Order: sequence, then C-alpha cells, then structure tokens
Amino acid sequence: MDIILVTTPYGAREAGYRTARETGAAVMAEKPFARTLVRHQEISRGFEPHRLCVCHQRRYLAAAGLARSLVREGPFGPLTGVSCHFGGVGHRLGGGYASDFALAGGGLIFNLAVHDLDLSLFITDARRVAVREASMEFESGLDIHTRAAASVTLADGRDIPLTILLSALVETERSIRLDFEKLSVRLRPYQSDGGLEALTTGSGFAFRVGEMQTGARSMNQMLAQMWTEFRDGLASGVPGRVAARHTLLTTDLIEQLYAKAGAPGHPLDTVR
Amino acid sequence: MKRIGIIGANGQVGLEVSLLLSVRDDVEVVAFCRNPVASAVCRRFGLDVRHYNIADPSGLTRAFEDLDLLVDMTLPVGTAAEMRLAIDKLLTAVLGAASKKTAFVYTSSVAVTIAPGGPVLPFLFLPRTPYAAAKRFGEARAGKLARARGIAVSVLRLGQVHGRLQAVSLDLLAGKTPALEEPGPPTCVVFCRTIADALSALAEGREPHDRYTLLSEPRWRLDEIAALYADGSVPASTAPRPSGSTRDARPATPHRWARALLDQVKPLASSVVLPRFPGLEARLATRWRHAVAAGEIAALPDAVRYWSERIVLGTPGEPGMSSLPDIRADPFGPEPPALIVKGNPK
Repeated sequence: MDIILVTTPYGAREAGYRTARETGAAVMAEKPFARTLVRHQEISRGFEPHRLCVCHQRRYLAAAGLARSLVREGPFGPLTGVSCHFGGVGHRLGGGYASDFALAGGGLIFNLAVHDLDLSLFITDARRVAVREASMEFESGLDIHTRAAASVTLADGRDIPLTILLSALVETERSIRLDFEKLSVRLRPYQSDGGLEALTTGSGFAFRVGEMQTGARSMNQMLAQMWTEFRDGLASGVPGRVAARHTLLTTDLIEQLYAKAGAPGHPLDTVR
Repeated sequence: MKRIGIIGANGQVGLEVSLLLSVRDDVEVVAFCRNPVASAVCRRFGLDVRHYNIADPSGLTRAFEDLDLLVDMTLPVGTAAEMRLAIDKLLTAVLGAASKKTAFVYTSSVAVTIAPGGPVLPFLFLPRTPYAAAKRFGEARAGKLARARGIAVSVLRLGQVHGRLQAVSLDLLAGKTPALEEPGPPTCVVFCRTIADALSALAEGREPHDRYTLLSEPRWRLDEIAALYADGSVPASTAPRPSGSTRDARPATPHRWARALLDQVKPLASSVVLPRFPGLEARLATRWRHAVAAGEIAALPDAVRYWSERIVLGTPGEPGMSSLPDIRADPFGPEPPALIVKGNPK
C-alpha cells in the first residue's frame, strides 16, 4: 500500500495508523485528528511530515485564499479581530457513531466546527492561540454549545481577539468574520464560492468580492487540490498545507477549549 | 386536550412546528427524537421529549399510547433506494406499534404533484425526482400500513417550508437568494404556522383525515417573505395571484408529444425505475458523481492547483510550546530527529 485514507471514527483509528506505520504507507486522515497536542504528536510519530495529512480541505477554498491574502497584504488595514460562528438552532447532531462519545471523540467542535476553527487560524496566519475563557454545554459527553473568547497572535506579533460561538442551541452568524481597520469581511465556508463578502461599515459601502476569486469553488475542486498537493508532496518530500504538522494550532485550540470549559476527558486523550 | 407526537422533532421543520404547537392552548406536543444528543435542542426549548428506537416495538407502543395524533416529519436522505428503505423501516415500525386511537400524519411534498409532462402532458403525474418518488412511496406505504391496522391517516403535501428557523428563510433574510434582486413570480410556500394549524385541526377532528396540499394563499413572492422576516411587513394585497406557471398556447402536435415523452425518460428512470434496482442505482450514481467531479476539476486552472506560500505555525521556544519543539519547528526547515522514522521504506 502506498496511501491509506483513514475515515473511520476518531475512536477507531489506531489500527489504520498502525498498519500505515508497519507498511510504510502515507496517511490521509479524515478530521478530526486529535483532541490534544500530545495525542497529535503521538499519531504523527512514525510519519515523515509530508506523509501524514489531515482532510482540512476547506483551506483550498478560493475564498479562504483570498481572505488570507487580505490579512497578509492589508488593503483594508490591519486585522483587528476575528469571530468564528458555526451552527444554529437545531443544527443536525448525533446519528450513528456521532452520538457515541467513545467513537466520535467530541461533539460539535470536534466533528463539525473543526473546519471553521481551522480556517479561522489558517486565514489569519495565526502563530499562537490562547483561550481566555470558554463555556460549553454537553450532552452524553458531546459538546453541543460553545461560547469562548481567545486571542490570536498574528505573524506581525500583534494579538487580536478571536470570538467563538459554535452551537446547535442558538442561532449564529454561520460565518467567519474578519474585522479589519476599515472594513469587515465575512466568509461562509459552506457556500460553494466561499461566500466572501464585504460588510457595510456605515458609509453605505458594500460589495461582494466573490467574482474576484479564483481557485477551488466546489468540494470536488477542493479535494482535487488537496490530493494533488499530497501526492506531489510524497514525491518531493515537501509537506502541503494540510500536513498534520500544519494543523497543530487547530489541535492546540481544541485542547484549550475543552480544557477551559472542563470537558470530560476521552480515553484517547493524552495530555502534557 | 389533544396530544400530538412529532417524530423528527429535532429537524428543521419538526422543531419549529413543535415549538409553535407547544405555545398553543388547544394541544399538547411531544417531541420524539432518537437519542439524547438529538433531543438536546428540544429540551433546551422546554419541549416534552421522548426517545424512540424503531428496533424496540414494545417501547414504541408505550411511547405512543397516550397520543391522539402521531406525525412523521423525518427527512429521508440518500439515494432513492436508500430513502425508500429508511421510510419503509420507520413506517413499518411506527405504524406497527401505534394503536388504533392514534391517528397518523405523513408529511409529504408538493413535489409529488408536479406534472412532469408540463403543458404538453399535463395528465402525466409521475414523480420527477428521487425525493418526490420517495415521498410518493411514503404516502402509499403509510396509507397501506395504516389501513391494515385500522389507523386513520392523513397526508400533508407541503410547499417550500418557511419560518423563523428555516434555512431558506434565513438565507432570504441574509440576502443570499438571487431572486431578491427582482420581485420574481409568486412561489409555492407554506409557513410552519400553517402546518401547526393543520395538525391542530386534524388532532381535534375539525378536519377529516385525508390528503391535503398546504400552500399559502395568496401566493407569496420571495422578496415579500424576506420583508416579513426583516421587519414583519406583509404584502399589501391579499387578492389571489396567478401561480406563475405559463401554459404553452401552441397546440400539442404528435411531434411535441413525442418530444415531451422523451423528456420524461431521465426523471422516470431516476425516480421510478432505478429505485427498484439499488445496485444499479448506486453504480450509476457513482459514475455520475465521477463525471461531475471530472468536469469541475477540469475547470480548475493549473495555476491555482499548487501552493507556493510558506506556512509557519508556532515558534519554538515560546511559552507553553517548549514541550513540543520537534513538530512545532519551522515546517520547511531541517527535520527534527524525532520525526525521522527508521525503517520507513518510502
């Protein structure tokens, strides 16, 4: 085997990783990857960085790339804050293994909103994240509602606030909002074009930047880009943008959120 | 007071209808969900929740015994064959466990009534989509199972459902629906409030058990619905409006009849024929998805396939990260020894 695609639930993956280590196969692992940094490290052990990737395919969304360039190049001024909102009243939860804490590993954050958390960190080119406070509601060990405040350290060393609302109990904005000095931009990761739009700032100024985007605009295109980069990385030895080592900060954020909110531990959790 | 049970009360329509029923004085509502995770939102809103398991007939019988009306508001998903299987399993279990005194309501869709023949073959009432076919199957199955057990049954064919919690309504409010840029024709919509009214009427016996199509009349336009949710305004005119469909005035010649019949081949195959051959349907669905993916990938410019930007996450030596220096280092720098695997043949 050259590549193993691990899509079993979080709590039932060890055999897949073990087989890959034993056979020397590379691994593309479905999200979620790990609840703690140490667990992330444990899984990574035995794989060269370019040979272990996580399916955070939304990083390939054209709108995500454009949003990231807005942060980096600053046409609307420096980034002053980020909010990550996911879910809404009655957002589909549970069903099958997703209702089983041992298998699912977590609830809304871990199995669904992890894409949005990951994208928030990816777009902002975050270097560190620190959760200041977090409150959660749980059902059968699974998180179903999270409200948190964190700070993100950007590439230029500035700390900006990250506001998090992930819920199946209350309505959210269902988007990632980037507040720049002159303008706010909203990204809707689950719309095919990313739904990147500038928000009115009170000056009557509002426009959509969707037409300006190039790149992946559909799930198929995102997956094609991800797998192309993964395959090329196997040949070149260069880890792509979804290499497991490049998703550490996402795991860090998840670990901090669960720890801060006093979430029940999972059998696979290993902590520092 | 009549008691109504809603199966699938944690779904989008089921939840809003349950909430609307719960604030009425004339009925009581019980929310049926599969497990505590699914029912969390119902309990949050203070609904009376019961959990059900279709593999436990005696448990279902106990759960349904004090109900006057039981409503299936579950949403089947998957291929046509998978939808049929799920509908059949649920209806067989539920109607097998319910008593005669509990009437049953199956929620269907107006999609089952749309004539695929259009203006040329208006009499050809075959389901045009797998979803419509599944709902038509559900209608028939519910009727047959209920009649066999002497249970009164109704079918509610719903238009596009709008409400405060409905994604289509929220999208309208957020301005995500292109139709808002111009008024557009009146649409086939129904509000959750109307569905709740209908269920109340059936539970109390104010309406006989039968098959109903629920559409709001006069017909609403999408921009009017958006205005309703934005500021509570309602259309000024309440006069009936045309449906928006236009009947072709040209005569239906044999040539046009033949063409119209040919146009039905694909929808008929996908909604009527293929569900009877699940294996073939699954293979064709896979081939179709491959074709779609190939088309989308071919449209992707080579220039944007590759990532040229360096990613740096974390800086070694920062507080709190010192225990993880091996994989938090610059990912494009020299590989830390801990990650070089001995014996890895690749």
